[in-house]
Amino acid sequence: MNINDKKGFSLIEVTLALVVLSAGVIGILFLLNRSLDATISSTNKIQATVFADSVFSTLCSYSYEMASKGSNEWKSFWLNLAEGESGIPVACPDIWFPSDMLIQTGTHTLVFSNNFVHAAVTTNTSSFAVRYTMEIELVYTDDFPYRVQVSLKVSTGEFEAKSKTDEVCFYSEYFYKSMP
Amino acid sequence: MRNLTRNSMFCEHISRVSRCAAFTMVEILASIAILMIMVLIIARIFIGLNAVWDSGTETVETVNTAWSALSMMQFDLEQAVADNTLRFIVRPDRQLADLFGTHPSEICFVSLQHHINSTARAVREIMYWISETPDSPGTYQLMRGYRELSDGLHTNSPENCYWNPDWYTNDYPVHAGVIADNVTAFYLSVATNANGELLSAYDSTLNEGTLPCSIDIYLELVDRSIALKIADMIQQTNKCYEMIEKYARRFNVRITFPNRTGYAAKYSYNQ
Repeated sequence: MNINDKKGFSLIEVTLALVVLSAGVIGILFLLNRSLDATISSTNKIQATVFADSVFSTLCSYSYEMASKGSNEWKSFWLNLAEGESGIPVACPDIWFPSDMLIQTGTHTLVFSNNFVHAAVTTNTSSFAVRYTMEIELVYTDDFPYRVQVSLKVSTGEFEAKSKTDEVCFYSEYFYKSMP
Repeated sequence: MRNLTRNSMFCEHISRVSRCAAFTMVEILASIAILMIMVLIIARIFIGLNAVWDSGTETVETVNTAWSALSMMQFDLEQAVADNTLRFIVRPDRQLADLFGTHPSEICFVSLQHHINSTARAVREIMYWISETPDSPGTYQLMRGYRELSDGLHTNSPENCYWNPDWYTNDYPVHAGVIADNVTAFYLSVATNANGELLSAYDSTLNEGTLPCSIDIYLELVDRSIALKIADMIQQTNKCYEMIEKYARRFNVRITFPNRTGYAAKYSYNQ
């Protein structure tokens, strides 16, 4: 029997088999990548929502307190905040480093790094970061801003959101001497 | 002659069979070896992918747990009321003094939220505290308990919040449930004015019977698998803390007390 009589796979057959195998593996990896993206996106959106909740609640407490002091105090608080001349603190400031982080109008990034929480151990680990854009608009009635509109766009991570779907938008209103 | 012909046909048949193309033993062994290697590689990839999937799922569960716990606390707290009898208390935990190097907080308050079928003016005595998971030593859970108080009940129960400002010193409520597992820190701080100092303890009866201005909640959780590892290495304190610092998910939120039916926050606008 001549060795040349032996039949085997041709190069085209082998190539086709490899293409089919690769397509299967790539498909599985693609699906996994999509699911990981969805996981990260879901986690980020919850983190963004917690941050926005906290900002609006802090604004609410300031709004109540300034209103209790008088209309001028209330007005100047919102005017200063709207013009970026003042800010409000983040929740639980002692937990983070630095502890004097402020939330202001405009686009900013906040990196929440661990401060001393568990005994005296510190690892300088960044826990999470948010990039936000806060806009404040005062709506005047008789030369007095009875209504304040606050919009907040939040995306987690230090840098701008990759797409608009990664950015979560929030909105709230504050009134002088009236519950929203 | 006939036999001769028959023999030659048989030989021809045998010779034809032996010339049929087939895999040799070496070829089959080689292909099985290659197949085995490919199966092993693909199995390793799938095991790795499975681990990543599990980790992602755990992370989402942890974050969702934290979010739902914070939402529930917000819902309860926003309807809190206080006066000289309806006592609002935030303080270091009475029973658990150490939670991975921190002293966790507990909170006891009276909230107007109640079951839809409850009678008018019914309130709930609500408490949040940390306790060790019963069937998993070394891991901790955030508990929420409440006692429902209706008009009918409060008249003949002198220990409840309508009559007794020390209601919170009773045992933890019977109606208690776990709202977050694998907690590594739970810390509350209270502000009596918007930009004032944050206090780790607050008692409404020492503050003119009023609610504070706001409360900051810090909740720290780890994934289940990490919590079990930490529980296993609880004796190695520093390693334990480092692991928490590295893997914990942190949530901080500030909650304001809106004014409720005449029970005002101390510094609210109508005072």
